[in-house]
Amino acid sequence: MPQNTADDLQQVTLRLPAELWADVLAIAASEPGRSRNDVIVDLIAAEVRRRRRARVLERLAAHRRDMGPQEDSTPFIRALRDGREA
Amino acid sequence: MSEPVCVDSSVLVKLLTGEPGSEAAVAVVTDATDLVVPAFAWAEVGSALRKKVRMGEIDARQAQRAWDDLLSLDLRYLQRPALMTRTWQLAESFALPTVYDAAFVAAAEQAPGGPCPFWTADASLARAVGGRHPLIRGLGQPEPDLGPTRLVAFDLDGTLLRGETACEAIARAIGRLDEMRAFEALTDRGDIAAARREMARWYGEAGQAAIGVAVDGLALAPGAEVAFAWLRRCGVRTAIVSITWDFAVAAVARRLGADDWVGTTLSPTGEVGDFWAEDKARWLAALAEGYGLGPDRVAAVGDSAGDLPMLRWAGRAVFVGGRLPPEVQGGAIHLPGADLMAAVAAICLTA
Repeated sequence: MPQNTADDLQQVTLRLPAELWADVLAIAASEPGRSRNDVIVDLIAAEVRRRRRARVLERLAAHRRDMGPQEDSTPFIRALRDGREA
Repeated sequence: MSEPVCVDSSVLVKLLTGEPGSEAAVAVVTDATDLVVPAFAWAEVGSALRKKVRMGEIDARQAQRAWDDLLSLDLRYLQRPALMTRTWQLAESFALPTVYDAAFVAAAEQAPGGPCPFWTADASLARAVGGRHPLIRGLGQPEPDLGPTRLVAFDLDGTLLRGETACEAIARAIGRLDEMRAFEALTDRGDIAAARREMARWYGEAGQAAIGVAVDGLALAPGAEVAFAWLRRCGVRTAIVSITWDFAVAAVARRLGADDWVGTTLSPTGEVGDFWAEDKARWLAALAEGYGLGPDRVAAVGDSAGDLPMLRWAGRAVFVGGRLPPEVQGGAIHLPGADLMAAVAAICLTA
């Protein structure tokens, strides 16, 4: 569903540099069904997720240190996919 | 620029536990706008964590914490019919023994916002498919060089469409398939020109609506849509060069987002503007010149003898037909019946 038709939205005014606005227009034009509002909302949402993930990654780094060195799980996952893991 | 990435379960486990390659895994995801995975990825990661508990590598508390960390990564789990359809296609195209790897590649192809890289720590997967699919990246390996190509021209019948040609699909829709098959066997230039004018008469009788439904429903070759999306994302222009009707070429070009296209024209009053096989190379050369590109920056993909002039002109050529004609042996990469992502990899990922 287009994001700009939902009911519970906060309306804001943005001031974008001309170059950035041109990029937004180009992206929206290249993807039928995706509005300019959708493009901007998606960009902001992605940045919010990226920042949230950065905080999670800091926590993960501490947890990895606490575990110490581990065996590589890649062969195990390969065996799972190939149906070889008992 | 930040973009989504698709990450293999092997990469996710390295994020959660201190395995060899953990730092490389962190580098891959740090600036990603989205982490995309197929719906079953959590089960693979969970199984790897359970094994670590079973083997005494981590204790129950550490495993629980790693599991909670996985859930907090805000992964984008993809599960939709289009992903399953493409997963099976990829398993077929790349001769994969199971569908797990193919599902990750399909998730990368169908990431929100367009195709994105798929990172794996599995060297065997990267080796098996990596050089044949442009989205696959081996953890700790350098990003592949895109190469010099900036314009890729595709033939339509047999290349972007497999099986039934555009003319056959239209003929089927208007009840002229047997006559059309006889036309497809013609080789004399005069006979073909006469056949085109007869087809134009059929189309006039059938009306635009019936023709439009037929061309909008043309079945694309595996990987066609994602190949065009990926080339566009890489800043590579695309063109469709065909001797068939330009209204059919235009319909496919619109579906795929091609930048340019050409074909045999049919005016509203029924006049035919013939476009022949030898016109393909001339048209492509003029198009490239308009973009300031020499043949060394242009690639062409075709499947038949009619494509040979275009394939010989382009700096890189991929032939997806069954038998490679002697005229292009040594000058074209032969990928019979290839998925178009494999064709794009052959064009872009080799020096």
